Amino acid sequence: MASAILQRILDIAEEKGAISIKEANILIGELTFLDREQLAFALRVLSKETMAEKCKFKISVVKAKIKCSECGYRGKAIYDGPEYHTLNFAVPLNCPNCKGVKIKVTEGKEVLIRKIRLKVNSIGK
Amino acid sequence: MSNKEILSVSEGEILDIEIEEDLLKANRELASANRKILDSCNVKSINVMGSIGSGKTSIIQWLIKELKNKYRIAVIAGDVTTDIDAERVREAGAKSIQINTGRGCHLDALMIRKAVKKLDLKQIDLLFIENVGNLICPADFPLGTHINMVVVSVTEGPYMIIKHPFIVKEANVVVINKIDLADQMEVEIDKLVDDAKKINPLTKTVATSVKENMGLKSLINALEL
Ligand SMILES: Nc1nc2c(ncn2[C@@H]2O[C@H](COP(=O)(O)OP(=O)(O)OP(=O)(O)O)[C@@H](O)[C@H]2O)c(=O)[nH]1
Ligand SMILES: [Mg+2]
Ligand SMILES: [Zn+2]
Repeated sequence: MASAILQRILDIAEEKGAISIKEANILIGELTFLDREQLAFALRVLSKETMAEKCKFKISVVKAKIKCSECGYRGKAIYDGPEYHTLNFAVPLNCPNCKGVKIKVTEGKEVLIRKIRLKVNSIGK
Repeated sequence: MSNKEILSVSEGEILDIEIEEDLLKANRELASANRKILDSCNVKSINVMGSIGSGKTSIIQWLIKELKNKYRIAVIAGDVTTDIDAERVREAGAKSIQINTGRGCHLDALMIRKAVKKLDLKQIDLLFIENVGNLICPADFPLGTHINMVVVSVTEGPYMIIKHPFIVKEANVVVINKIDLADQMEVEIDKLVDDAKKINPLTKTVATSVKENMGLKSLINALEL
């Protein structure tokens, strides 16, 4: 995942004619189960000898939000329990209001590149 | 003063760009576009995922040898740096295209879209895509294939399936390979099958040994080939 994020950032920077990437804001949904520290570490390692070598990767995590099609609830989701991570993974999240399972995850599954700060060579402009 | 200005200019300017792009969503959209292309040419496609060395290429070769008179087969082989696997499947009798991912640890839908353009899909009935050996990242990057197959082997020990629920959840078929070594490794195949079913009750499981030629017919059935 880290390599996909980095590649996309490098592609965009190259498109814009950047000479280096100073900062990147990344948002990950909690349901991706990506670990923030681990992702940041991987990005730092992978970006060596690229335009993003000195980039500050700012990663934030967004909580899961759902929409319930049974009772109309919109908001935070609750997990089934600690086992959600492992065996009961296949069991969907429940609606905290009616305990229904007919829910749609509206936030929490994304890997979003929000914003990047580039250094561009102004001579080229 | 003017000196200073020149300095700051040559150092470059700072440019902020708003992107707001969801990588996973972009990949999913490309994957469904891939599926449409494959469907329009009547190509059945299989994403072969699994850990490093579990036997992905061996299984693809095995299927090619068995099925090459029935289908026109092509393989897209993902690998970090080499083209060994692409060569191996070519020898088995299929067309093949290599994708080197470099530092990337999985294939994505865009890579497949580019690779597919190099194939004459009208001349192909069956397409295998060998993903990079990895049980984590490929789970998040669907390619648009009709079947997702995950290959693990008993040499990886008894917890390989339970530790990777995400990829098993995406799998239509889970292959437990190298069963010729099960006794030696003290791994119970039934337990691995149970684990897979608990994570994904809809998945089909097949135990195979390419080495001893066991399980080929069941695998072909599971893949509906
Ligand atoms: N004993 C035994 N060995 C096997 C079996 N299937 C594959 N192998 C061996 O396992 C090794 C790895 O097989 P590959 O088919 O290259 O595995 P792979 O998953 O494609 O590997 P990577 O592409 O490198 O991730 C080879 O030496 C194969 O001969 C099997 O059923 N039994
Ligand atoms: Mg291989
Ligand atoms: Zn509800």
